[in-house]
Amino acid sequence: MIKYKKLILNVGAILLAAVFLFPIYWIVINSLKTDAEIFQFPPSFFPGTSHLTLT
Amino acid sequence: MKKKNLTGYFYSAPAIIFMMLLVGYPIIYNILLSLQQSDIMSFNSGEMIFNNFDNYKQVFSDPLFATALRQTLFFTFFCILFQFAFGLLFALFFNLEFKLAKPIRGLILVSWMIPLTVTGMLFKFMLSPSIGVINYMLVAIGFIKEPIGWLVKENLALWSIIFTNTWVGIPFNMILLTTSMSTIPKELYESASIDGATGFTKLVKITLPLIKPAIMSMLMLGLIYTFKVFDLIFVMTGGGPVNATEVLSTVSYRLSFSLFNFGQGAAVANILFGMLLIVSIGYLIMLDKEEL
Repeated sequence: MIKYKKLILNVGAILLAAVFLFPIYWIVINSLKTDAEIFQFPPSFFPGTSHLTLT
Repeated sequence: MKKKNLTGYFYSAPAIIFMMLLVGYPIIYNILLSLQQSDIMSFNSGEMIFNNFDNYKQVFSDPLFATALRQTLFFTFFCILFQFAFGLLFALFFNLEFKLAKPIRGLILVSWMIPLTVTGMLFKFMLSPSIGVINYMLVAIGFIKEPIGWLVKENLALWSIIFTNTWVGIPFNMILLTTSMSTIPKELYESASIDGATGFTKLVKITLPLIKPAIMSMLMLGLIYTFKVFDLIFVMTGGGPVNATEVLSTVSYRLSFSLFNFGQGAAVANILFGMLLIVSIGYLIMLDKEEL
């Protein structure tokens, strides 16, 4: 019983962080997008990384 | 005896000089500026004339000032309310004992650490009616039918900024509350449990009274930070639409740097300063009484 309670708390904390920190995720993935991808609608949640090169 | 006194002055001299130069001088200069006729004309001639509180009279008779004052109070009240309520809930949640409590508590602090200008730009993007992700998600879950221009509607713009500021303020409140909660000895809760207290009773009778000093100082800090908010509003709406998000700091900026009426801008800034000073002194007096 106590074990389940801890599990629920942990999952709850992860969900809370996921919702609360979504804007941070958005900053990070926007930094990886091309300009066209940033301004497209509907927005893309998982940007492709094929255009990223190390030059 | 006299020599001893001198040594004391010598030790405190750097701090006093520092404060006088970097804090005292700007404040006094600002007060002098607010009493003078200071605009482009007086810059041209190089003379500044004391004009018998004309700046203050004009500012008080300006309808924009009244609007800004009302909106500042509105903004501050709701920001503090939401920040405190959610901060307390988060603090209580992360004060429970489970493995991820501390890592995730630390992670949530990130939203407080990023610069306010970045936050403003980010939320401006996310709230945009054409490409904003918040509109997209709200439409997707069926909460609204079509995208809303959160920052361009007069009745929604201030609420959107309150939302953003709350997002920034929650972790700050949370961390101050959790640190003071963790200093409460566990025995208190144990003996309360033996006496048959429920969770809510424990919260009201043990937790809240014991973290009261932290709550007071946190509300005070929050009040000062929120009352003089500038960067968030300047970046997100710039005071628009139709002055709907104009607050005292943006009015002061506008008077000084787009109308070049430095005297009136300084007058508004001084009014803002005076209000915060009164609140701070009130807080210090209250703190003194608590200690005694």
